[in-house]
Amino acid sequence: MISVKLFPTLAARSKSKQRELALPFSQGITPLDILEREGFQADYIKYVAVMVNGRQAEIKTPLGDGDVVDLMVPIAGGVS
Amino acid sequence: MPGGYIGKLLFVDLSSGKIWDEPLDEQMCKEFIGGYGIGARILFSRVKPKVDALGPENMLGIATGPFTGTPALFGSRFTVVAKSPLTGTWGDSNCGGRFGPYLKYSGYDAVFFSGIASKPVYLLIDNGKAELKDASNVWGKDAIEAEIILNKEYGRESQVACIGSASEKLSLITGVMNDKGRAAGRSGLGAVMGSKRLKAVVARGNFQIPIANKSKLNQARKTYLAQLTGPFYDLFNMFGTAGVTGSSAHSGDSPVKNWGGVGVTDFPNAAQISDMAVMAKREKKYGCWHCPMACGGHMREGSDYRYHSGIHQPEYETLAAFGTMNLVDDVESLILANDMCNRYGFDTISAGATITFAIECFENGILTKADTDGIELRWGDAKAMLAMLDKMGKREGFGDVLADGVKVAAEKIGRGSEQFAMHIQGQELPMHDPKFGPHWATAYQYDATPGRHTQGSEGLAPMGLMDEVLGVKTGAQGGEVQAAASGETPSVEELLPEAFPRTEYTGRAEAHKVGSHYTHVMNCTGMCMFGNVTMEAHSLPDMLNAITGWNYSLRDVVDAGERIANIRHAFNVREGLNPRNFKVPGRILGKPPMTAGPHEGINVDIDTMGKEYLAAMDWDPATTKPSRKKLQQLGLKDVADAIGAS
Repeated sequence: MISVKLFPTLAARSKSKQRELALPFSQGITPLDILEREGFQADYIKYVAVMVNGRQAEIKTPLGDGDVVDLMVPIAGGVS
Repeated sequence: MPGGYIGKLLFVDLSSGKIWDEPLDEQMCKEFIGGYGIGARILFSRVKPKVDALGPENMLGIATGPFTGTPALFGSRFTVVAKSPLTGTWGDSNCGGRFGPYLKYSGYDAVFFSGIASKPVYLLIDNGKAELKDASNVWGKDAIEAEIILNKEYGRESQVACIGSASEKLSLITGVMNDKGRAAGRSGLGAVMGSKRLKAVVARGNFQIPIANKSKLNQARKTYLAQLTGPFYDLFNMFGTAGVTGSSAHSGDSPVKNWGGVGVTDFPNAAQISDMAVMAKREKKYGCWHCPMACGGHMREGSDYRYHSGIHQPEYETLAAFGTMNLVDDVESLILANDMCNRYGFDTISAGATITFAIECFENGILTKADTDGIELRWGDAKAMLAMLDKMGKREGFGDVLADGVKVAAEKIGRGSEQFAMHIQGQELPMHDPKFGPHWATAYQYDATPGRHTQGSEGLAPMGLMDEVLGVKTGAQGGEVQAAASGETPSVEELLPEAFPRTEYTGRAEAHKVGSHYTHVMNCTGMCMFGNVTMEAHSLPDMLNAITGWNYSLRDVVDAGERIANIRHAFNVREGLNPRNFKVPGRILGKPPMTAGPHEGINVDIDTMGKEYLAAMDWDPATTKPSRKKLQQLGLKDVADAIGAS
């Protein structure tokens, strides 16, 4: 099981509209997969910052069973 | 005159009462844009080095930019400038609300005050005519009361910029207020205004701001209004900055417990002072003048704490500085703290963080109840926090010790309290941790106003800027350009920005320059940063060119910003200051590294970032003095002579 916490604006725009999700674990699943399944497009995803188990992580970091994933939108950013 | 400007600067000598105006030079507009750019140019020329920042020779300026009060998107803002009594450096601070446009409608792009009035006064600027008035009916009132009194006298078409009662008592952590809760908070400029016995500026009038190309501006508005979508828009529109408080407390973006805590363990209830919890207390939205995003709010009446309805929603910085830093998870207490700050005129970052310092001193036995007038300052104690804030506002008892910020408080207390004073050169640090984003450290130490988070960087700039100006074909723009040529839809990989890795401290300097120089111009136009980062980088030059009739590219914008950065920094060099010598507290950088939480093991290499930044700026690696070559290239020969540049 993977616990996902969504930033309030992400939850509002997501398919499930939930602030917290409990997803079944599958090998190789990434935060990017979770966001895409919740209906987010690339131009939204690029603003999302990821924490896994309380540490900064990359959007394509493969997750482990039991991981807690925070998906948020920090104000800083927009670097291109 | 180019469009966007009234074309006049107002000057007031408060000692003699003399008032006069001068034309705003078109060349100055092109080179320094507005706001603190023009402010820095005027003050560098007219304020001598090493003056007493609270004395008659300091100058206080209130300056708009070419966007302010025009149909440009997000053009509500003005800047306050002076030598800072808090840091001894160049000082500037930025504010939204409603005053900026009305200053221009009253007939002036900016107003500058020198001297000290013999008794409290306010300046009325009434449709081109300026007059000093006796302020005895508003002196001693809090900033909101004063504004209400002055609005009643001068009507609904008047706007007021004023100081709170703590600024009258020269609290170094106060700012200039408007619209009952918007603040030019940083740099202690409220104390400068208080030292001049200047309570307020009231502006009204119906001057028209010329626009060079109205149809081009209309087209730009259409184009960029369509870009008001996406995650930043959602954040600002749905929640305002309060939306990030909870996630920032746990991600490591926000400092926790005076920069020494870990959010998930020390402040698990951060959600109680964030997004939905704040919205539950909100009555309606608030937006600055003509803002299409309206990120603010007016709160409903307090139930657990006594405050009336209509007061402003606290920003993220406020919620974090009073909440996350003090481990206070009671949202109504933070709403009240914000309103108290808006009345006393406190910079909420500094006020919250100063109480944090006092709490940590108390918890460590450096302070006792005998020192703190019987108030037990404990982590998480909202009532004690509010009681001490009230004393600070009145400069009463122990509040008098804290009312000038942590640096002065630590000097007065001694007893080893300095170890808990988190500041750079006297300014308390904002609620963004360099351990989360190293770009903050470069800005905190090397911007001419130390400890600022609104001055731009490689991590705080709109999309499209770096790619075009640095020719770096990565991330969003690069992906789209490549894919468009091939006819394929860009993949997510192509669109993900290649952000600077968090622990990569080298190679950031050019991007830091570009980000911060762009942001200086953006700030100086009077545009709001939140609007700017929600849209593409071109929004700035496109609207600037339509308003003024100029033909600025992104590169031209960045070059003007470099000039503004250099003159502000040269002001500090002329004061004998060297930011390489500014002490940055170890906790800010992870020296020693934290042993738990999102910053475990992180040690921010500010030495490398600073060294590379100085080299990129062509500032001397030891003295930070800009080279003569650089200053002359920027048209700043007089500045080069004044600082003895070589």
